[in-house]
This record gives sequence, structure tokens and C-alpha cells, in this order.
Amino acid sequence: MNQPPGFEVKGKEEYVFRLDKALYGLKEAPRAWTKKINSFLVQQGFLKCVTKHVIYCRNTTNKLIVCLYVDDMIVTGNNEEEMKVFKKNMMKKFEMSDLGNLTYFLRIEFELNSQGVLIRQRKYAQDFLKRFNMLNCKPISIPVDTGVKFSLVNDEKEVNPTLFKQIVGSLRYLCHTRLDIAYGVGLISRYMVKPTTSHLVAAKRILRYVKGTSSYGIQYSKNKSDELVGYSDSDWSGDKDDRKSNAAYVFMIGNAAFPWSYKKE
Amino acid sequence: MIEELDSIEKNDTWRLVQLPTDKKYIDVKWVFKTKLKPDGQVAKYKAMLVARGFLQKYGQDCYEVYAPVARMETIRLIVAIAVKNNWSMYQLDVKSTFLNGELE
Repeated sequence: MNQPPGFEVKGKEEYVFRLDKALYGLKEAPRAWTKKINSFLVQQGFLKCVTKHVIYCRNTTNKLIVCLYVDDMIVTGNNEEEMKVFKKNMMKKFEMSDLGNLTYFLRIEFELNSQGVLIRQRKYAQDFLKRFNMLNCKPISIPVDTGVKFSLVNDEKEVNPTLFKQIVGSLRYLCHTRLDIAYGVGLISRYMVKPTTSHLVAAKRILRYVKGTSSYGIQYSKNKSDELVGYSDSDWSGDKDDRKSNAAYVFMIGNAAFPWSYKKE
Repeated sequence: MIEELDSIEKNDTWRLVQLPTDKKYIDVKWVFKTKLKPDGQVAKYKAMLVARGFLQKYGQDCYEVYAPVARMETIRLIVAIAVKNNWSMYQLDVKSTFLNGELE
């Protein structure tokens, strides 16, 4: 790389720096970091999960699970002492901050209550309503108008596709804790290419629904059975344009959903 | 700016060398940020040195760029398991993450 502007070494202006470590903005920077944290965790006796490469487990007498999100991580396990030792080792190796109990991760709020943990995106939902000037809208109790079938081609007025895409994108992120709007969001996101007024009305309807329900989330309860339950459904060629089906599934562990999906075939 | 350069120097990030004639260098630039307190007052001025990585060519300047991120389902599953077993969860955050990675 060239020398940082304003800080050139005197008399050696034509010299360059050879990088031994990564710098922000460099393409291989994230990779270099992943390699480093991987080798550290393996050296600490962790096993990398074969299907989900961000999960590391240590299964000696006590269990310890680490979940990575680039430079953020969640640590959990059944032994407080061991977690403390692990955190200390991490701090020795890297310059890092201990944010304490898990409360706010990737704009999702984790709230400890008497039954367990409630995850929700209340703040995100509020900010999002404010961004699209829907903070003072009238709440509505159903996210999608029943019986409405949208069509890709109609003769209504077109709306600003960028605005529409922004709404859909933000709603998709909200879906991380809200499976109740997954259908509505899936529905409107099909019309991102050429949105018209009726599509925007449908999007705004979801926003109005979110306004009334922004404190909703998923409750994970302790000491429930670890039985895995799955449901799925399909509407057999419900689409007006191409006769394809809508399908959805949800899996629950201890009565709380963790993966779900709604998609059109 | 001095602070940022210090932290880079401390990390042994770079060495001053002469540019080989057949190589190009990567441009760097300064990015300035003003961090505000919630009441709108200036908390601090921050300077960050960034490489203009978009000038790199795959296979010529860089090779492996893959880094995994967690899917939301995975995070939710971890939370579900932890809560069910009544384990406590902690959150850690690494500072100057990318300065930690070593290049070949």
C-alpha cells in the first residue's frame, strides 16, 4: 500500500508499506480474521460444527458453545466457571470488550424474564416506522387483506421502486423475530420489480400492523421438553400469474419456533 | 489520526519497503467520523485508515475472501437451547478485529 496521506516518511516518499496484517477495507480482511479466531478456538479444544461453520462446541465435562458473527460472539454453556475462564483467555489473546449478559445482538433485543428469554426487535420496528413516516399511523390487527390476490401486471399507477424495495428490505429484517408477518412480506417482495399502488397499499398495511404489534417477539421458555415439532402447509397453485404453490414450514423446540420459512415454489 | 497510526504500529501491521517494479500498490485513504452523544454533542472525532480494497483483483492481489456469518436461525437455535437448559448467555465483542488477522 502507499503511505498514509499526510504521514509520509521524510526522504522515503516513494517507498510503500508491505502489509503483514490486514487493514479495514482490504478484501481478505474478514478471511484473515476468521482464520485467526478459528485456529485460536481449535487450540482451546473446541470442535467446529460441520454444518454451521460459525458454531464451536467444547464438550468435556462441561458444555461450552460459542457462536460467531464476525467480531461479535455469543458464549453459552452449563458451567459459569468455565465460561469465565474462557472469557479471560479470549481477553488475553485479543483486545475485546465484555458486554455482559446477552441483551442486544444484531439489532435484536434479548430480554430475560421469569419464564425464559423473549427476543424481539421493538427498537428496530420503531426506527423503521419513523423512517417511513408511519409513526402516527392507525394500527391494524391483520397484516394482509384476506382474499386479495395480487397480480404482476395491472393497469394501476406505478410507485417509486426504490422506496418499495427499502420497505421490503427492512420488513425482511424484521422477520427475524416475527413469523406472523412472514407471509405478508413474502407476498409483497414478489412485486419489487414493478410495484404499483395496490402493492404499496399492501406494504403499508403490514407497516400499520407492525405499528400495533411492535412489542411482539418470540418467547423461549426454560425447562420445556426438547421435543422437536414441525408443521408445513401448501396452498396448491394459489398464484394467479403462474399457478405455482405457496409453501411454508415452521419447526419448534420446546414450544418456541426457531427456523421457519414461507416461500413460493 | 495519531492514535490510529499508533495502534497500527503497535500491531506490527506493516513494514516500509521499496515497491517491486512489477507490482502495484493499494491505495489507502483516511475516513473521518464524528461520533455524537445521544444528546447531539460531539463525543469524539475518529479517524480510520482504510484500504481501498475494491482496487484489488481476485487471483492477483487476494485469494481467499470467504468468511462465514451466522444465520439468524442458528442464533435462535442457540438461544432456544441455552434458555431451555437455563444456561446464561454472554456477549463479547472484539476491537480492531481486522487488524488481528495475519496476511500471507
